[in-house]
Amino acid sequence: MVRTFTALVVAALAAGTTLADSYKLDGENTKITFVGTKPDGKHSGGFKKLDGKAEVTDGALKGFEATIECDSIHSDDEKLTGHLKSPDFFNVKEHAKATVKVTKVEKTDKGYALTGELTMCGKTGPIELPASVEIKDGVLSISSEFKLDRTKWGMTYGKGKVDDEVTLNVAVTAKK
Amino acid sequence: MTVPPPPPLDEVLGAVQQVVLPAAGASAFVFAAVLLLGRRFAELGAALAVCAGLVAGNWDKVPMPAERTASAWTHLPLYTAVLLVFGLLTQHLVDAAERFECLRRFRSAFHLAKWPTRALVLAFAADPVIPADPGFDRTQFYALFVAGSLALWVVLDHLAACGFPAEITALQALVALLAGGVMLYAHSAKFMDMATILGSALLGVAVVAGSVKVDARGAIPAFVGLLPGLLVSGRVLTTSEVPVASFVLAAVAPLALLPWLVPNLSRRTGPWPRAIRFVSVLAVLVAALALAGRVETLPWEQEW
Repeated sequence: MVRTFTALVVAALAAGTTLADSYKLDGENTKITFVGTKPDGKHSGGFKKLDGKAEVTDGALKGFEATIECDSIHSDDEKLTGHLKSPDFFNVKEHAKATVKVTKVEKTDKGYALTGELTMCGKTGPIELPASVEIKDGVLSISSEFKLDRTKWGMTYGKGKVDDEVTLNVAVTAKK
Repeated sequence: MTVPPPPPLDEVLGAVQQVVLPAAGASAFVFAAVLLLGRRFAELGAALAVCAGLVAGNWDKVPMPAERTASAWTHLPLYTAVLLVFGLLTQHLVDAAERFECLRRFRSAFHLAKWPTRALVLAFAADPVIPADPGFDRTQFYALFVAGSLALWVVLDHLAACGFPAEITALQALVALLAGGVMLYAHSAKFMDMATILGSALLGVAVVAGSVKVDARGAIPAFVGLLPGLLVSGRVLTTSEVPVASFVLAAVAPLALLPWLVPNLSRRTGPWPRAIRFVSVLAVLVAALALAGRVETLPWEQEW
């Protein structure tokens, strides 16, 4: 009788248990790059330093959170990097960090839709990005390319000379 | 030292069309319109004119913030407005004491109180426009900032009252426009735009003041309020090799006029004294730009 009861309890606990994993994100395993365009050209760049974690439950991505060090921004031109750090764009001296929080992950026809919010330059706004997500052999891979309207985060400099929409690319390859 | 190449013509024309003409035009128009009420409204007219110029110049490019945030430079418009109001009030009380019999007994008191009141307003109002971490001891920096701003105000106000207000306003415009060059060397087009708008608005005031020979001291607090604060934020918030000396020289360039406070010199209005005043201020600005140009390039010098 006792054995049966114990077996039932163990079975019930096992049924209710979820397997949650946390994947650490950093500048090495998570690459955030961007391409900004203007009528007569384009520039690419990215961020070298970030810190965060992704939550995976029962083999499915539940969300992730990352804090990006804005001062680690780099680009294909040293002068441009200085300009991007200025109050015309990221204002890194006053807003040293940007945070991205993905709180909802939904399966779609083409992959996944990640929904959350981005705080940058002191402003928080919603983001929704299409992504491909794969978890295999203890490695979490996320790949996403999307456009972001920089003016929604107060980066209004150069309207007409620099396009408002910037193409962002996120590539995560994190081990458990 | 090499002289940097001139900016591309389309950029110059764009700046003239979007900033210089609207700001200078609006300030000149408002100043002239207020002067229709009478010359005794000149100070009020100059203050209103420079405000109109700042608004009009900001219309298209919108570098000046409409809302205040934790960023020090977003407080500059309100700080400038406070200085403009107290500048007018303190001067009008002195003028009223001279004009009205009933106030004449307060004349000495108003004269004595004018500069201490302005100094106190500067001291109290300057706090939000100084960044939290200016890179030096903040208390010392605060004291220097207030003292420097007050010195600028005293020199400009005194010389403008000595009979050449248009020239002094034009010199302020020159300083603001060339200080914008230092900001551009430091990779901040936003702060350069703000300095250009200020310079253009002052230019409009100077043109009208020079044309009808009226007092334009009412506009001085706009210069005292905006430019030093802009240069401080420009230095603290940008990432460049431009030395501190460039920003300091651009901010205090009008102090090159200090010798002209000597009574024997202060009333000399001929072409030579005027040229010497102009060259002495310009020399300080050229030094500021040269120091910046030694370590940084302008955007159009290097394609990116």
